[in-house]
Amino acid sequence: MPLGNERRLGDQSESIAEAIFLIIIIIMVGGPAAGFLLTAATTVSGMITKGAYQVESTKNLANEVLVSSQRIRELERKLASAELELTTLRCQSRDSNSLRALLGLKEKLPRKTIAAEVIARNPDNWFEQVVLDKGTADGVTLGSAVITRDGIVGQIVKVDKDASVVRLITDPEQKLGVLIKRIGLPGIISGNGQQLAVMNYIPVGTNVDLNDKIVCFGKGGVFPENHPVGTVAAIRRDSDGASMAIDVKLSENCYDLNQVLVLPPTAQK
Amino acid sequence: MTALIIALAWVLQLAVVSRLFVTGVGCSLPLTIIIVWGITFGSPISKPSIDELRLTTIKTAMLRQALTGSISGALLGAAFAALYSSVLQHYPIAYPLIGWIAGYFCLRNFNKAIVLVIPLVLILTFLGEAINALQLYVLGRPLVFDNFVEIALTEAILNALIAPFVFLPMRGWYEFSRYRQVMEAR
Repeated sequence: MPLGNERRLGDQSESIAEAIFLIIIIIMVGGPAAGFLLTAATTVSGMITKGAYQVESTKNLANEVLVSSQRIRELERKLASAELELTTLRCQSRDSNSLRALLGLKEKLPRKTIAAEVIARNPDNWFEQVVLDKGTADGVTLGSAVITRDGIVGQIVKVDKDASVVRLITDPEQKLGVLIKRIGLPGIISGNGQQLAVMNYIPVGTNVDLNDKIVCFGKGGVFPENHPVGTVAAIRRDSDGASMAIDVKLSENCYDLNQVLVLPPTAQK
Repeated sequence: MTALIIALAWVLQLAVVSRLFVTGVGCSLPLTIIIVWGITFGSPISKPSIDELRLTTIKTAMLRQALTGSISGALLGAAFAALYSSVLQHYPIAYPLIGWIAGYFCLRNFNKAIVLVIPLVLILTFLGEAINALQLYVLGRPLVFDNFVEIALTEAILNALIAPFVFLPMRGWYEFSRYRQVMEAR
């Protein structure tokens, strides 16, 4: 064999050995590297998928919160309007009950009556008065009695064409002839603001009991006879001790008036 | 504008404020407005200086001092008193008097006037109700002094509480009108 051929054979066998060595190296390194790559790819793709999922779920949650808050706002609006409606209905129901009661009373009374509405309270703190929406144009006259189904309210002290002023029974200047119904004892009560009305000069030893009904005397042609005024709340001696005074709990709450009946005085016989 | 304020205050007092009360006593929006008006607008006549008082006679000084009350406050008080007498059986002379007296305590040159308004309204309301009580007593109304402290004190406290809400817009109005006058003068 010529010398050149020998050298070429030698070179080829070296290349084959190198190639085999390289293959072995590739097999030895490539296996674990592929595993690592797979793991890395899985981890990365897992993270991306998880992130995308979380973004998606956060978006959905935000949407749900947004929708819920809109729904809550809508429901709150509905609730507020329902509450308003309920309040209006309650007021209307109270008014209609009161009007029905007044109508019943109006039919029972033999006298001319004028239904009126309280439009204002008196502007200062010294007087106990209310203003009514009816005046001389409707037949209201000075001195007319003002009542409700529950009791006496007061008396007209000022009258104009379309309005009138009522001095309430709680005013210290307002006096009213009354009768303790059970024993038939007459007397005069006078108001005392928010405190109990007072019936003075009751003879000592009079058989008055707590909760005895006090009604209107009504002989003067102004206030209706036997209309309720209040009940006996307390019995005490006068400051001088010569007679008794009775504290009267009025049956009408003069601080919460809406509809009333005005009774012009009847002509005296 | 003043007529509108009077009408609005009167309607508010009759329809709303008089229905809101503490222990049976409510605040008086008209009286608060009268006092705050006097405090805000004061008198067109300036108060005498110490030198002027020293050089003048007692009669002149007294006259000058008397004239430094608020004329517009008295007129406003008189207007409210006339409205009151349409409902009540008497003319409350306390209202124009208090409007006039409030002018002595004019706070237009004080920056921190809001702090002084509260005690001034408290004292002047009490004084106004004392004059009112005296008038009612003279007219023969029963139980006036029995209820005086409760009514006057409660009303004075309530009026003092609402005073800043009346004073701030009124002072703003006064400052605006003064600014407009200055601009027109230019």
